[in-house]
Amino acid sequence: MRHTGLFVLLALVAMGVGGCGKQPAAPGPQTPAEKPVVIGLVSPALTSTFHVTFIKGAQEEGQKLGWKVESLAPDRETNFAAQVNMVEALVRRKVDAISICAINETAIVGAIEQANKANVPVFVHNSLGDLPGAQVQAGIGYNQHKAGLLCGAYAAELLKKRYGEYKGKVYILLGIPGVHSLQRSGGFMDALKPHPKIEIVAQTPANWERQQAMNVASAALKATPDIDVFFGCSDAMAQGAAQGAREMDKDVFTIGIDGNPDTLKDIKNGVVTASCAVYPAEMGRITMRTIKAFLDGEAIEPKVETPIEIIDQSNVDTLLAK
Amino acid sequence: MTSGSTSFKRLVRLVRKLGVVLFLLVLCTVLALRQPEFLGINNLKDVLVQISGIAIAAVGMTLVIVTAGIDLSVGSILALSGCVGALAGLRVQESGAAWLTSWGAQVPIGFLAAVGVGALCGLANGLMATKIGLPPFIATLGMMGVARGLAYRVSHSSPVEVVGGMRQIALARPWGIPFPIILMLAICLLGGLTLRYTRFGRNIYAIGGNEEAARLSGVSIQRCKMLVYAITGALSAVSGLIVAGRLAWMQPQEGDGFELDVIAAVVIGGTSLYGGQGTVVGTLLGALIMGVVRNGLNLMAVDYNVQKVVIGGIIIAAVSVDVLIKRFGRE
Repeated sequence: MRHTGLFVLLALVAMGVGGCGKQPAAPGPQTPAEKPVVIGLVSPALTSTFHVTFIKGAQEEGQKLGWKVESLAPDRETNFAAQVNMVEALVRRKVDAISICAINETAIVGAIEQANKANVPVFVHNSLGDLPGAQVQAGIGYNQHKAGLLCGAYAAELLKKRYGEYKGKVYILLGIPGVHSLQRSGGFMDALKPHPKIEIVAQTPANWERQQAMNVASAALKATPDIDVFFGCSDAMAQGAAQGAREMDKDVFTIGIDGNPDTLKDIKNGVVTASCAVYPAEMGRITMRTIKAFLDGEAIEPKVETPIEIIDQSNVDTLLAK
Repeated sequence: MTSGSTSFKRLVRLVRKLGVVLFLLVLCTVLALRQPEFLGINNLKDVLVQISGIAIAAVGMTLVIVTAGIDLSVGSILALSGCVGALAGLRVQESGAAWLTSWGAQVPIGFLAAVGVGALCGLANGLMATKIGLPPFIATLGMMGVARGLAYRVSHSSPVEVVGGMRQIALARPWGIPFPIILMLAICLLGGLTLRYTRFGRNIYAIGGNEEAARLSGVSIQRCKMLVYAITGALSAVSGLIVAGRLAWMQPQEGDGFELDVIAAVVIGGTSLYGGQGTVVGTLLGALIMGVVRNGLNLMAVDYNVQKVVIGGIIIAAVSVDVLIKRFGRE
């Protein structure tokens, strides 16, 4: 049975490698006082610095409270099924609370319903919207519509500086179709409504991805060479557009949303014009504090709004210093 | 000499099948000790539902690989047929045609559209592999691109809403058992019986074992191969419908990398990529192993990319064992 032995060895290796660095679950029953609080955080993917920073902030706060904060995320933001599987696993573990940033709100509802059935409290981060059909204790995030609004107002001022009046051409890069994209672009367009001479050339999805945004921007510039501003609903897309424009030797303004550290560096170096910083680390900390308040039995707001601010070359240094 | 080596070969195959079962049992035991929640009935149901799509497509892939072929397009076919099915159902529901919507026709129409598209893509694969004589790797690689591109076109690159009735394939729980589990077991049973007890099944083994000999014995190679790829395409569509039902939205990116999971299930289950041998039971075990590993790693909150390393390692190990057995069998 040589081969059976090999398989057994593989099994142990597989579990060993997979579980490297994790503390094994303590055997036997524990009294509630001894059992550490376990919080599950589910992100759409860790491909954007935003989510990585959010987790870091949340874990810092969790450490202060003596909690165990588990982070789960699929490999890419389009992997709905993997995200649902991860939420299900957390529910089976009966963690003390779950906070989800859903890739797609409707796709995650089934998993949240299972959490509701198992009495695991669910929070939503990076979104203030409602999840239809599921019970969520609170939504923690920044006002995405307001972020879009700030970016739109900023874009209008950029165009005024360039042309002496509120006119010019603007291109919008959307994320994966969903509430995040809709609200950010909606806010942006609302800010431009009072300025009829500012033309929105098009809105195209680039799925939150840098490479896709680069391709979309290049194609857009080929079709409409005089685009002034590219607005990316996320930093990654704004950076992609900036790269695409640079390769075509076009001087465009690029504005993003997130305020990630790499984008801040790009702003300092003049590669990207501006970004609406959303302070993900702070959002992570606020999320944990909201969960703590809930677990302690205090009353909490159903919607917790976190701070945002437009960052450009004039104030980027203060943020970089932090 | 011959009877000795035949019974020896049978022993080797038995050991291999047992090896996979033992591997699964050891895995489950180790996991249960680490994370007791693994054994929860709801968690086990989760695992079975999570692998249902892979297992169903893998039944078809087993047939394909036994003929010494391969199908890289299953993920793309899943996306295309899922999108087409979802769109068909949605359009019928939105059309307001009472003669259809009053009795919920959008559901069977959506299902038929999906499976039809899947079967057609599969048939195209089969035609390329037989009439043109393209190596299956190339034919299905091409289809992988074509189907994916068409999925994006058809859906205009955005997620398609799945009508409520069509979601039942994933949400229904007859006797408390999630329907995808029942569907998976039924298809595995059908596939296994076909492979083992029908002439079609024997022909598949013959083609994979020695295609020239099979041809000389009068087996209709072309018809068998076309059927095998068409079946795989249709089963990929069924997987697509389950995914669509589970997630409520069908998107053209779905199933990206699905073919690797499906092939992994078949290969871990003991089917040889050289063709001529393999079982549906083995494939189901292979799918279970992958599902259990993924679930275990999720319960341990292991980084998803580390999960990929582990699964990749298991695939390499499983094929290595297969290669070593072949070598061992020859000496």
